[in-house]
Amino acid sequence: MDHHVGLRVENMERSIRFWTEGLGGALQNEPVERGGGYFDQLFGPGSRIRICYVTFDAGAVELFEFVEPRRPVASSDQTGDGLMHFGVHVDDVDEALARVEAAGAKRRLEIQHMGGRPDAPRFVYVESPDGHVFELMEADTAGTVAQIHKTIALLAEQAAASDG
Amino acid sequence: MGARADHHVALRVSEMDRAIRFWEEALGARVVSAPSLREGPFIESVFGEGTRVTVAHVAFDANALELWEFHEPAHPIPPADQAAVGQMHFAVTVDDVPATVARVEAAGGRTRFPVKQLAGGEDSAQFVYCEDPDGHVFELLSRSHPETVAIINARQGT
Repeated sequence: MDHHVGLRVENMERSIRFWTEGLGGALQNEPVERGGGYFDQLFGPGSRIRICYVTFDAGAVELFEFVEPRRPVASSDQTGDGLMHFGVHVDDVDEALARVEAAGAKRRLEIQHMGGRPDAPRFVYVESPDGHVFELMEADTAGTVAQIHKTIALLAEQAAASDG
Repeated sequence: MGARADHHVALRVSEMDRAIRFWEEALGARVVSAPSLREGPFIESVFGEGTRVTVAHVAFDANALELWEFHEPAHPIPPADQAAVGQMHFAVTVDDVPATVARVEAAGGRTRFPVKQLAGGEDSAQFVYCEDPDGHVFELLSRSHPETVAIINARQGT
């Protein structure tokens, strides 16, 4: 399930700049306007969209700018939205955060260590210019799961200590 | 700079056990981190004061889902109107789209429209939009991402 994540954007050119300059993505096709055919079924009769793909070392984002219907993109509310965020594995969170901020991203919190443990790899939540939330992480998926297991074990130890 | 954007996708779910069953049965996911209740200062620093949430991870051949069942705050999960939400869907490459649709439906999911063929002829990708029991939209495709991009670019003559 690493084919792509589809994001609705308000300004295609701004978003292409953001995902290529901010996260080093590669634009795979110039945005093309589509409508009719199966798009009427996908998004409602009369919908018209501009679409393009931006790919990374792994994974991709599919950017959709709706020409019709045109609605604002709401900034993501992590405890209110269904699809919350997506994770991106990077070598150096400081460097990646500096790049995405220079490209127009905002951080949602300061850089944290996983589980709040100082010896653990770091992560940060950031949002794109449209308010999509993504997470920059210094561990890959397997490494992150291992960190979660450590955190759960630590929480259990602390609970046992406070019970005792 | 190396950015590997297939680390995980995070979904808010209304019932953790139902969500895990769905992703196991529909797409063959395996639980790599069992549901665990998280609360306290660290989780509050990320999601706000008083947050209590159960988190689990399920993994696929590539990528993973991070499933979040919030006990506090507990908001209903809004339907994913593709022309109104910001994060629209995520996509999954499978060997056989119709067979996977049957599994998705048997596990309690549904399709948003019948299986379609990407423009570009009979050997182009099959695809369909599905919903999990919480209404999250995911797309099944019969071709990998690079193959899909090649089909799109051939159609555009680029």
